[in-house]
Amino acid sequence: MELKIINKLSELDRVAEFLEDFGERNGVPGTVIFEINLSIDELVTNTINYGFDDDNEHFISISSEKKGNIISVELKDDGIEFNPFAKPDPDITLPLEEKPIGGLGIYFVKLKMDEWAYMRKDNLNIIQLKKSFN
Amino acid sequence: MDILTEKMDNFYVFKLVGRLDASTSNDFEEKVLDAISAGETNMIINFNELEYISSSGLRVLLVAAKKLKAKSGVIKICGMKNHIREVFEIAGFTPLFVIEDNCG
Repeated sequence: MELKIINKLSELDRVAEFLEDFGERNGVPGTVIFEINLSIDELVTNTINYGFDDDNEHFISISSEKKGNIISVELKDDGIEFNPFAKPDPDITLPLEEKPIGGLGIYFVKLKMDEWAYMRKDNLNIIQLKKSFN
Repeated sequence: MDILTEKMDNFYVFKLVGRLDASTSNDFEEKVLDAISAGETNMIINFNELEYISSSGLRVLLVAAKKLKAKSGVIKICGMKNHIREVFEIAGFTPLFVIEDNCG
């Protein structure tokens, strides 16, 4: 299944509906869909907020498939080259006063997905995620 | 997302209904910062009907916690669903708030 959204945060609702629909059609438990939704939300939000250096409308595509008990999701955008997984993980044990604002989203992706990969190809950012479930 | 607010004893109460993500967190942040500017230091955030939270929602709560800590205030969060509590745990946010199962 595939969804194309534009680079506006209001599209996050359509992402959620798309993934719920994908989950229902494929018999994927709600808890797993929540984790996939959270991961894609964080990546797409980053891309929409920081990925484009012009004011034009851009498309972000999200495709998902299930083979056996493994779900694969691929995100593509034509924004500036950026590997979201290159940053070090945050220290979540810091006390309130020292906790930085932000920086948790990509960490959630790494915790919730089994595999993640980034590549730059044909001027596109391509992110591939995999998640297995029982 | 809908945000309902009311004053209850010494607490300023926010009830969040729906999804708290990057498309709705600005609205929530504005309301929280307005309340803090108006002198509110104790807050209850009712999560009974909150279905979803992303790091953008956590960000607002962290900003509020930092501001209220400086004023010796408190933020209570009640009625968290399990999948949302799990997000608080992996983010290291559980110790920052008073978390109550029931909103009473």
